[in-house]
Amino acid sequence: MAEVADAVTETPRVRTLVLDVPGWTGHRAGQHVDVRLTSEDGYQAERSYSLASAPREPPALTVERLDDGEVSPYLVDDVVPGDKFELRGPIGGYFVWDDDGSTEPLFLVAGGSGVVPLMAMLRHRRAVGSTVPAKLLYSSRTFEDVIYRDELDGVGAEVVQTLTRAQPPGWSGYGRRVDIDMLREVAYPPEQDPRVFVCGPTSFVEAVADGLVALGHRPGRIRTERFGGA
Amino acid sequence: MIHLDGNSIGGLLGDVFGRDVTDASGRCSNCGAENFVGALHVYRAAGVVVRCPSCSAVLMRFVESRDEVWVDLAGLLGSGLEPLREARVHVVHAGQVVDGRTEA
Amino acid sequence: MGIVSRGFRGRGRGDDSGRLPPGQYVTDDFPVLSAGPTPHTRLDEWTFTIEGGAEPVSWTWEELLALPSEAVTKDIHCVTKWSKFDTEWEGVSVDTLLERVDHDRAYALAFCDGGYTTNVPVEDLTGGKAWVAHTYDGEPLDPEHGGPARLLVPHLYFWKSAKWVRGLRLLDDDQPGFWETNGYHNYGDPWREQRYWGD
Repeated sequence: MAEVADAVTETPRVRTLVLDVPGWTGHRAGQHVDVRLTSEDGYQAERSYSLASAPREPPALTVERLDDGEVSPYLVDDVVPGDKFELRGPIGGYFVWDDDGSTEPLFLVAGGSGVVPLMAMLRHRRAVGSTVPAKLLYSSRTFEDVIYRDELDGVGAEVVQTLTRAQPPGWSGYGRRVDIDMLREVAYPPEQDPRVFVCGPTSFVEAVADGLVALGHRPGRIRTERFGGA
Repeated sequence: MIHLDGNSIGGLLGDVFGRDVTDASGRCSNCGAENFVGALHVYRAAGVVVRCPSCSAVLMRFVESRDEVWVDLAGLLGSGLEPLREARVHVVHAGQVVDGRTEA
Repeated sequence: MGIVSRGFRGRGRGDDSGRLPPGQYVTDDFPVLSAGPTPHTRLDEWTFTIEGGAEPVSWTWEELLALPSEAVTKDIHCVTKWSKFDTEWEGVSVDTLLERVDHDRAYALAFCDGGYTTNVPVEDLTGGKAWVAHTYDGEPLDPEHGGPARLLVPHLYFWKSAKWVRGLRLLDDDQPGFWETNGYHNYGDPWREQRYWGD
């Protein structure tokens, strides 16, 4: 059971809910929770959301409102501190990053709200003072859609952004969808054997993973998490 | 239909196996491809179908009612995954329950 | 029932017209639920075949479309608890197809592109209860919803309305299909809430 302790607007479509979960014993960066909502007539809907917070922070979810969503509009637009819902988790042992002493660099690739679990990883890395080199390639539609925009500068990792739909004046990042040329320019070279985490819509994740393999990265070093949607 | 991946059924897998198994790996019985459970392709239909990312063969199937879950793991080899020995978890193979309990 | 979340109204609603089977909610959407990737069989290679009679009988896509087609409006009920009222379909009645087949079998197994199967007694496919449907809501059936053609058996849970259907195998003995071998009820009557084994 979770109670909303705080709600923070990130972008016009995205909100972070900081939760109070009795009995919460912590989580690993990259894990998610299953949220279940029950309406008064007993109808239930369940969705998974990645934890945005670093492991030692209170659990927080960052949710993007999907236009045809059933749960996300409620969580982004309606929920207020004090509201409660059922929650199961933390869940996940594959798409997680721990500061486990390995020295190979960390390459994170985010499509839209796929940045959420990767931000948990970067927040964890910053909190524990890890010296593992890390780089985030983050694709968003427009500048207004960039989640955690102000925090990215101080997250302690190199952040490369691409805006696929429109770029503001003076934009110095990329201005197109992630493609193999961008990956070649941005990713750590395969010889450095980076650990790679890719998260976002299914087609984004598969295109990026295929591109990295084509560039010579070992498939076993690339971990993926697909969110719903194209 | 857009598929998700094994991460998206982490909760269901935890209910069946008693622990997180998305970092277990197994082999497709059809083409031999080896993958982490978290990377397998997941389709949600009447039940949950887990397929090989390489050849789309069915590796696992799950049907959940409110109180029970039926699971067929025949398509995934070498994972070492053992469903919980609990009354609510029914292991199915070739259309029959194989854990000693009959169709109710 | 779980903790009620203040103000949450999902996409499903109740209905007391008597048209909603037990445990179901009405939706205006048409959720896409698939057991696997959407197949894309070329229409010039597509056939529908009924096996198990005196000899197999097969129709090409053109031949299927040349058969008498019916427009039907039906309520449909998915075992995942959503129901949709007044869905509009066009298709060839299975009665029309079975007229061409010399058989005395009691059971059928529908088989599909992608490997999906589902079993239905012949009695539940005849007498105006089932169609091979190619048109939904006035448009050619979308591949995501089973196009070019799917089986339509609306009096049973919708997993029996097999997407991407390519034929029926007529059998003397019932042969449970993809979900019926994995926990879903062998028959699947929504009005008796026959969802799972043991129901």
